[in-house]
Order: sequence, then C-alpha cells, then structure tokens
Amino acid sequence: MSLAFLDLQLTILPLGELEETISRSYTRSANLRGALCKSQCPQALQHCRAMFEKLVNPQTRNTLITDMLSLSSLDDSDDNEGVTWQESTSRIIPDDLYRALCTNLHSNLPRKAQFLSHLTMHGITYAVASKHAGNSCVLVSMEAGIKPFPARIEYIVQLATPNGVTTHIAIRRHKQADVTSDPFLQFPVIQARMWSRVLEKLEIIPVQRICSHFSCLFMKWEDKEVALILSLSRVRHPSIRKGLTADLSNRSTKYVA
Amino acid sequence: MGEVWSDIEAMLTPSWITSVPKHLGSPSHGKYKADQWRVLGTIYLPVSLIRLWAKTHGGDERSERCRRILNSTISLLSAVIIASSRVGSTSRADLYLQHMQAYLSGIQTLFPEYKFHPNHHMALHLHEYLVLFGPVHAWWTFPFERIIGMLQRIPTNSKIGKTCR
Repeated sequence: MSLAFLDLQLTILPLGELEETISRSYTRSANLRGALCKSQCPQALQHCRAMFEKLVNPQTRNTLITDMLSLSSLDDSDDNEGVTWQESTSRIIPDDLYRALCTNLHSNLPRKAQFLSHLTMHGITYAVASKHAGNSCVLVSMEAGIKPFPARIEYIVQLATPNGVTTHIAIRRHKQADVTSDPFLQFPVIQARMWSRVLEKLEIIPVQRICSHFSCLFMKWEDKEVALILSLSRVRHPSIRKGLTADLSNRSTKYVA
Repeated sequence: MGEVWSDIEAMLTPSWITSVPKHLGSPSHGKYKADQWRVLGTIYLPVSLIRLWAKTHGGDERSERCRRILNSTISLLSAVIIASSRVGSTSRADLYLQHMQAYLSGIQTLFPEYKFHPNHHMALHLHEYLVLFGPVHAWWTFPFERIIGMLQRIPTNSKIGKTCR
C-alpha cells in the first residue's frame, strides 16, 4: 500500500504543488544542516551547533534509527572527541566517589572534576541514574569473553590529567540474587536472569567496559525482592551461544511429556 | 493481562527502545508496528510469561498446560531473537529452524484445531535465507519502510498536484 502510494508520488509526471512542497522543505532542511558544516558559517552560529543538532536530530527511540546511528558512529573517530576542561563547570568530587577514584586509579587525584549527565557511544546514550534510570542500566564486561554483569551508572566523571581530560564511569553493580531457583535460566536465548536489588559499593571503570543496556523489572520471587535483568545486547554473548543447544534439548523432553 | 500491563508499566528500559502501548491488546491502540511486536516479544512478554507460568504445581492440569504453552511461546520468541540477531552462522540458522519447528509442533499438539497459515510455512524457509545471506539486518526491508514513513511525514501544503488529478 505504502509502496503504491510512493509510486504514485514519485514516478508519474508532471509534478504538482504537493511534490514541489515536499522537495522544497526537504532541500531547505538539508541546506540548513549543511550551513553549519561550512567554514564560512559565522562563529556565533557555530556555538549553537549542539543545540541545533538536538533540534533536528531524529528521535532515537527506534531500532532502525539506533542502527543507523551506530553505523554512522563508525565514521567518527570518537563520539566524545575534543573534550576540553572548563574550570567554570567543574565541581568538588563527592567523598564516596573520591574514595572510589583513589582506590581504582591509584594516583594523586585533583579534588575537582567535571560531571556529565550522559555520554553517547556508538550512537547509544548512557546516562547517570539521577538523569534517566533506564539509560543508566548497563552491562559491564571487565575482560573480553567474560560474562558481563549488570550495574547502574552513578556518575560520569571527567578528570584533568597531564595527558588531557580522561572520562571515567562510576558504577554500582547488582549483587547476586539469593534465590534457590531462577526460572529464566532455563531459557538462555532470552538472556534474562535474576539479580539482587541491592547494589555494591561504587567502583570506577573505563568507558570502553560498557557493553550494552539492559531492561530491568523489580519483582518478588520466593518472598525476596529481586531485579529481573534482561540483556539488550544486539550481539549475543558467546556463553549464551554455548547454552542454546542444551536449552532446546532440555525443553524438548518436556514437549514429549 | 493485568499482570502483563503492570510489567510493561514497571519495566525500566533505555530511551532508544521502541515504546509499546501500556494496555496491550486494547482496541484503542490500533495496529502495532513490526518493531513494536518485536520489542513486545523479545523484552516484555518473556519476562511476564516466564514469571507467571514457569512454576508448575504437581498434578495441577492448568499449570502443566500453561507451562507447555510457555515452552512453545518461548520457542517462537527464541527463533525471533536468533533470526534478528546481528551475528549469524550456519549453526545459528539451524538453531533458528529447531526453535521454529519446536514452536510449530507445540502449537499442533496444544491446539489441534488450529489451522496454520502460509506465514508459518514461510518462516521455515527463513532458515535457508539465513544460511545464504547472513544476518537479516543486511537485507530486511525495514529501511525501505522507514524511508516511506519519513516521506509520508514530510510537511505538505495538502494541495494535491497534477499527479492525483
């Protein structure tokens, strides 16, 4: 139906006012976007670039759009390149975070840092829990090939070091759930598992350790408060792949019964 | 359905996940898009259904039947997850086929009166395409549908031109 509509719109000549309006609005918006990329663009407008991009960027609440953004991010060397230190926006580091930074980074740290509310990597936005609870739920893998664990982003902190500004993520990981049976483990393809609602102490990880988001449902199981965590990774983890055959063979016996 | 609705409402999801209607199945929500069905099937439904139906009570016929329906449903959802994954291999394509066959045989056993549709047959052929062409993201038609949607949303002056006279 939609294709038939397009055929009518795009192939039958001559063109009328409807087509003219479509092409004019399309060209104008493309020109406006292109204007900011030109070197002749006034400096004042260049400063507003971030605001303008937020205005014209498509709403990233869609599987396909995030696909496009993750692909286009491959062309960018770094989503957050050109990070500069701005003394005016820096704040004193809270005590709990300072202790975690000292423990994890083992160096003399400044007492002040820049705090970000969100960070975009490969087209996906990660945020601190106080900004957006859903965007702060992340799966973290400390080593390649090791099964990731769920955590909540508490702070995104930038420190001024002799090598430039470095970005670190302060997370609190979920504790293991104290349940005798987890029915979700019978279905490894779904990639869901129960974890405790209780979080560990703050720890610091490099940005690159974040694997993906997860969705989270707090619920009661065996009279205990648990967090049901479902991975939203778009590339299945190797350990899940190993479990696939076992999963199906286990369950096929139940079909027979 | 009340349990599913409350799970949809309570679940924490990142902002890029396609939103789904809170009252799933209500006529007021109209027709769901393919992406909404996929999100419902791969994120919301498994959580609610496994939570409600995974535990069987010995000798209780209803809970046993619910468990069999759950197994069949999860087979279908697993097939969807494997088919729409970003990585592919022959063994994964084979697993897709196994899950799809398990789903279809489950439906046949559970609902003998149910008549299969051509889509059920076509879903079995998807296995060959996965083997031949790799992950579906490289060749599915979502981008085309998306650009059609974008063109439809372009502001117009609502004056029909010569094309429609």
